[in-house]
Amino acid sequence: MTFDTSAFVGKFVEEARDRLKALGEALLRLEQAIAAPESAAGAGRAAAIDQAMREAHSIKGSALMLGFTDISQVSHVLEDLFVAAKRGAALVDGAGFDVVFGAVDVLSTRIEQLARGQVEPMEVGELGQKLKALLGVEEQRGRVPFSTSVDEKGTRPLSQTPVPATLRVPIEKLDRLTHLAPELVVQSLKAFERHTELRRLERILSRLRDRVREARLTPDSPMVDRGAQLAEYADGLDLLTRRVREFLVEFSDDRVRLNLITEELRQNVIELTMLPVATVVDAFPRAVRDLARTFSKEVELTLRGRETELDKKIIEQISEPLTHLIRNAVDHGLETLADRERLKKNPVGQMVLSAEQQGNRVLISLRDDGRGIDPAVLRAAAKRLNIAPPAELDRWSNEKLLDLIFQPGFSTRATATDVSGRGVGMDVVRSVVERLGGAVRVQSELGRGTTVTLNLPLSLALLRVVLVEAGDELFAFPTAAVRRIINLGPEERKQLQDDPFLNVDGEAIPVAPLSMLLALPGPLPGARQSVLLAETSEGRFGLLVDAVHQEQELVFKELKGPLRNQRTFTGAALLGNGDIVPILDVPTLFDMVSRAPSMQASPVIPRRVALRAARVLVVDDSLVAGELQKNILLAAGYESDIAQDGVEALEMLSQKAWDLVIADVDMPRMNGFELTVRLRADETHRETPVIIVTSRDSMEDRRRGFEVGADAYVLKREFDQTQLLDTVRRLLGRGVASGSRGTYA
Amino acid sequence: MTAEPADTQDSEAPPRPDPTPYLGFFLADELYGVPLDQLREVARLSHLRRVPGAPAGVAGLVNLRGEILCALDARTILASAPREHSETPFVVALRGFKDPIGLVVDSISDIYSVFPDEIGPAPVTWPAERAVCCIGTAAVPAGLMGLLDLNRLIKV
Repeated sequence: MTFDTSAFVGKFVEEARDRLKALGEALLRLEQAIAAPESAAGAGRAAAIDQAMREAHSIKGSALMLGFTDISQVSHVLEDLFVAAKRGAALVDGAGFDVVFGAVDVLSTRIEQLARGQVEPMEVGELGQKLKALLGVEEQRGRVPFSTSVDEKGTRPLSQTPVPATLRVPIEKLDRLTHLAPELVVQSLKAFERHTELRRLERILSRLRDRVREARLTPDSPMVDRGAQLAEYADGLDLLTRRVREFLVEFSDDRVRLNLITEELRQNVIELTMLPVATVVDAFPRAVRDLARTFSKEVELTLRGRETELDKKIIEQISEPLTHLIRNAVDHGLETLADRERLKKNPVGQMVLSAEQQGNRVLISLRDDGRGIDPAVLRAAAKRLNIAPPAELDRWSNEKLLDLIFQPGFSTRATATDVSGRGVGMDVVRSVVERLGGAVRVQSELGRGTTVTLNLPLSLALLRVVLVEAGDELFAFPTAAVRRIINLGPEERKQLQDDPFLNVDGEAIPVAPLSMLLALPGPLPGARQSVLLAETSEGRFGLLVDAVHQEQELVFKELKGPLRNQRTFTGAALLGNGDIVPILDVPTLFDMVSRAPSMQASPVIPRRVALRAARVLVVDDSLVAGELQKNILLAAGYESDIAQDGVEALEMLSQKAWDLVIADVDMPRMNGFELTVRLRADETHRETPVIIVTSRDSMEDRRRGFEVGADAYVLKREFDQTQLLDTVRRLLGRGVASGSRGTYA
Repeated sequence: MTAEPADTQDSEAPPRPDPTPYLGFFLADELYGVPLDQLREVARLSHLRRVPGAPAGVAGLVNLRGEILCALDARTILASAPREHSETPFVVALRGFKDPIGLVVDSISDIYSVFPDEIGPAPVTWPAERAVCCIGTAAVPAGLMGLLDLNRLIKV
């Protein structure tokens, strides 16, 4: 297991050793006090009981938090014993003390086992019974509600006395806050200064006003030199103007400074409430181990990105859904040992729980290499449950079928096991995650495994980014995804132009210029370019940029309003100088780069939008492909929108006039060929040009495209935006009335 | 002091409804008005960050005292004439909407009070894009002012 609890366990062992020692000492004192003559014993006895109680309580608490239920159960009964003793019950006789000392010895032994890394719980049933028997003797009237049975698996609340909620904060975070305090004091002093200055200005001004009034009341006479008076006022005004100007400069500096401090303060306070995912997930490897035993399976859980921070409120709530997902995976996801051996899979089931920050989201995913979810089984269950008409269910995509497992009450198992029925409880997972403003998605490959991804918001976070330059503008790229920065010489650049792949560690990695992807002007000739080698969960890719600047930590801000739905950027941030820099979305870039056909595509300079842009409807069930085409079209000044399939396209075409349709071939419900046939059969859309964009490139498919009446046929693997735009321009330019059809791009 | 009772006069004519104050701004020489209660503030637009791939109608992002505002290009949305002079434009920050949003405009005119009975129809010569974004027009000292329906406008 890669998981490392030693930090916690180590601390616990240290603490428990001290406390057990103190407990033993307190017990000794207590025993002596009881043996001593009544009069002398009183005070010492009470103090000893108090200490014993405290020590037992502390051990219980820590043990519970780390899941050492055996230790917590024993120390809990001990604590109850001491509570009873404090209320005046003569604690125990000699035999009773033996049992209590015995319990302390058992705990000490157990702690030393832990110190050696032995985590298996010990059998405490008998000891517990003995201790409880003591308690029973003491509490014959049963005044203490003692509900915990030692045989029960520790499910009782952490503590009966409410402990005030506390939060551990790394000193580093507090330090940053501490540094802001003196800054605020400075600002407050400055405000005071400004106030004094304003009063001075007011005095000068009113003096000047008095002089002017006085002069007005003085009748003209040879004694009165009006010229001199005016000169005096002018001087006064000069002085005032100068000082007001100075004041303004200083005041605006203050304002900027105060803004910065306030913003920093706000961020720091928010950061205080951020906790690493480790807080929750570190408990899982052990839980998985226990679960695996229950099902006689062997499972290894690997944790990744434990240090990823997330809002404390979210952390507190995702434990339950994650536990549920893990149980599901161990119980249903992973095959039995025998099955795995038969399938020649690694007998030890592999599970990976990873957390990763992407912009303002944190993705937590649980992957198993088990049997996967069979869409056919889901479909059969859906039919049985009458979720939709059978004919419709037959048309449902695997994705849509997989989504069924989140429906309340949907289960593909006849009987749910005690741990989890597949599907049972998944609706709860979804509702918890959605309540947190997140989304949950399941992907599965039959026989290969299942991945469930929780996409959770991170309302505000500091994001480490590398600033890169493309098309003379700065963009931020999350550092977390950067693997390497490769500076290119002229030779390598040229090579990249011919073959947009970079050989890294024996792997050909696709590379595309950021300026091309964003439809920005390319670099000036002779520019020193670099490749940002990035990694996503999907794979690696390279981004050719004009320059790489320093790494920075920026405050992430979500893009809102009409920019909320675009996918190229996850958000934006302010640089120190007040400039805004958009933050690139790594998965979207990965998709764009792996689809970008070649670097020969000349950069398209975004055109100013014409007064009346032509409308192009993109029909593609892949959101990314659709979005890419749409963005290319938007950047080129067209109006564009996406329909998910032929049926939706027809709907959208009936609502609004579209000047051109770009359609994918393979789509659910109605494919691109069918759509074209329908359009050609329709009076209003007969003349609307249709471009088929597809990965199918057999002659037959081309002929089919021609037969159904498509105007152009663009291959996805040859796809580049220049070609697409050329084709669009050509078809729109020739006018819808023209009849020349069948030119193939 | 005149002890003339005012009651009788008031009951004669129905009270004129209150006027709505508008902030007038220019796009080239076209005058438009934003209801004052939907106005947050007006600032000079020092730096506009364009966003590649943004929908038409979005001018870009503006840093408004530490807040990142999505600025709409009023000119594109209203199909207005191109900018004539190169003076620094303004951003009119709006309020009362779900997301912080603003409009990029050429210059600010003044605040005008418009009585409901002064509102006239949109000129037939206006392009449809503009007509749908206005509740009508009103004649004010600076010219004929298009009264913007911001809920419509920000949807574009």
